Formats: sequence, structure tokens, C-alpha cells
Amino acid sequence: MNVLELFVSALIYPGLLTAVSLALSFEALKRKIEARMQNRMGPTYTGLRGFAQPLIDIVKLLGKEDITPLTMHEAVAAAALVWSISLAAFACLLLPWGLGGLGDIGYNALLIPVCLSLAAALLGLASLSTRSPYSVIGGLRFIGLLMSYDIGLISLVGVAYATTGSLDMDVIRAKLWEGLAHKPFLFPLWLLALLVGFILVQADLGEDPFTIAEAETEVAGGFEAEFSGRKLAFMRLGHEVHGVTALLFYVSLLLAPQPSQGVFAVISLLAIGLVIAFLSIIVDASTPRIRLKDMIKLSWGYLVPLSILIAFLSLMLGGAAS
Amino acid sequence: MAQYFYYLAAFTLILIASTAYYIAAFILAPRPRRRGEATLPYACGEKGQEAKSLDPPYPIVLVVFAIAESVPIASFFCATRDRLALLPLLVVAFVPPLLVAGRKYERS
Repeated sequence: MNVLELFVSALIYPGLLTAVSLALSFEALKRKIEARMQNRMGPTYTGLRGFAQPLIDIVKLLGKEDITPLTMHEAVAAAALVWSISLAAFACLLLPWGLGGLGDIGYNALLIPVCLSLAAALLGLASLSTRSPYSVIGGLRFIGLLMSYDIGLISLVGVAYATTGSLDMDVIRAKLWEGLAHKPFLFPLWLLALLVGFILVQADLGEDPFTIAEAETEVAGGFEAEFSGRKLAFMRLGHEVHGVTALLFYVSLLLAPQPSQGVFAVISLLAIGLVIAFLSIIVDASTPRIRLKDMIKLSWGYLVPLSILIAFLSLMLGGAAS
Repeated sequence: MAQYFYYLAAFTLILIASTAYYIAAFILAPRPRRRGEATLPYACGEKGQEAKSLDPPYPIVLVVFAIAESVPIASFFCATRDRLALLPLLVVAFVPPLLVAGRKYERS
């Protein structure tokens, strides 16, 4: 790999620019579909059928006056936001695109959720750094949500590992279906992991019924309260890049779109990602928010133990078979 | 080893690009017009009531948060050293304190 390839991979495809483009596309799609479901038009003015509206919103925010409360630790907030978006974009770069990229070090199935987890944690930290009651409440709710889905999501890597015998995302994507054909007894566990994973990704995206971070303080902006201008732009973009990368990670880990190499690998990943995004938006638009207390109960009572059990059983059965 | 270097270089490039974008927005955006008059942040409560500030965050939340965040990092650490057998031990070690702390957090 030469320097030019490294630059292109990191900054354009499949790195920063791709991550930001996908995040903005997801946001545009969400706005249009949700509007249609609520008998509205959604954005119509900017770009083709209004699809460029999220991009224009971010550009507009970047040029806005930045109003910072006296109590905010500005350096902490700025550093947390920049690091958060960088980690999420780096995780996007590590996805098994099948074309270009940096290749796999053999443990990307764990490295990607680590990056995503830290990226989300930094967004929570940015909220807490304002020391405003609204933001702190929003930030604590955001962290509460993160704690309730994070471990469950990482446990599901166990299913892919048991099926393919590897933590290399390229290998997982190439061999998941073959592995399931050779170990059919893992199929019910995989199916369960798929369902639990979808619920956890919905929480990771921060969509309904898991829009807990905005609850109670949404009139003031939830965990985004006190952020304006470039900080709000980075906050929103970081959250969206994180969400869309988590969704594509889930798709490549548990659905392993085929083919796994070449241009069609990229197309198949994006196409299946689009289907899952569509389902996620439908769930978002058609379910009411649950309370944080109920989310913690649901997560600690059912989802986390279930996902750990799925991972444990998969590893036991997969290990016994091989 | 070269792969690790590429990863580090790629992350550094992304970080530099994001920082540059933030700094460019900082330079190009209009200056805050009322900087000297900045007051306390938004306050909870009734209009006219004295503004409250909230010290973040409760210690229990930090503890739960630190344990929760250490799980993915520790899993990665185990995997990169070919100590995957440690993962069930990790779960046994981390989940009970998390459940206890999670229950406390729920009540806080």
C-alpha cells in the first residue's frame, strides 16, 4: 500500500467521506420515509426531491455563530466531538467492503464495536461537559442507553466466530453462509442473534422506541441542548456516522452479503444495509418511546443475558463441532 | 506489523481531517456577538426562579460506565493475544458487578 492509497482509503473511500455521505443519506431517507408514513412530504426543496437537506443543514450549522454557556468545558466538548466522529469514521473504514480499504488485522470483528462504543461514549462525555441541567440529564440518559445495548451487541460477535472460526471481518463475510451450512445446529442461534441484534442496533441508532436520550428534555434539545453552530453539527454528524456504521457492521457480521469481493460486494453490502435501514425507519416511525427504566429492565433482564447465552451456546456448540 | 502502522496512520489522518474541519468552521463562523454578556446555561424550573447548575455525573454512573466500556476493550485485548478462552471468565467477572451497578443506576 502506498501513501496515496492510504490517503484515499482513510479520507475518501471507505473512510471519512464515505462514512459522512452514508450517514447523511440515511438521515435523508429517514426524513422522507417518516414523512410519508405521517402523510407529509418531508424535505422537498434542496437537491433531488429534497435528499440534500441533511447536508445543507450541516453546512449551515458549521457557518453559524457558536453560543457557548459559561459553565461548559469547551476544550473537552470540542475534543470529544472530533474524536467521536473520527472513531466512528475509522470503524466505517474497517468494515469488510470487499473492495479497497486497509484489510483486516484478524480481530476487526472486535475492534469495530470497540471504536463504535468509544465514539458513542465520547458523545455522552460532550453532553456532560456542558454542566447544564438539560444536557447532563440527556447525557446521563444517553450513557444509560449505551450501557444497556453495548455488551449485548459485542456478545453477538460470538455467533459469527463460532460459525466461521475467525474474528476477521473479511473471513466472516466470506464464510458465514458456508459455516451455517456446515453447522446447521447453529442456525436457530443465528436466527435469534439476528433478531436480538436488530433490536440492539435500533438502540444504537438512537431511534424509536429507544429515543431515550431526548426524553424529558426534548423541548430544549435533549443531550444536544446547549450545543449550537459547529458543535451541534459535529454532534449530529457524529451520532449519525456512528449509527450507520453500527448498522452496516450488523449487516456484514450476521447477514454477510454475497459476493464478498469486488464491486458487487460493495453494492450488496449497501443494498442489504438499505433494507435493514428501511426496516429500522419503519420501526422508528411506528413505535412509541419506552422509558429508560423499562429499557434498562428489558436490556439487563432479557437482551444482555440472552445475547451472552447465544454467544456462549454458539461457542460451545461450534467448538464441539470443530 | 505493517498493518497496525496503516491502521494508526489512517486513524491519525481521519483525526487530522476532522480537526481541520472543526478549526476551519471555527475560523469561518461569525464571532459570538454577545460573548461578554454570556450567562448561565438553560435552567430547569419555573420562570424567574434562580438558575440551577448540575454537577455531572453521579459517581455510580461513572463506575457503571467504566465497567461497561471495559468489556469491549477487554474482549479485544483477549482476542488479540489468542486468549479467547478468557472470554467466558471475562463475562463472569464483569456481568455481576454490572448487573448490581445497573440496578443501583436504575434507582438513582
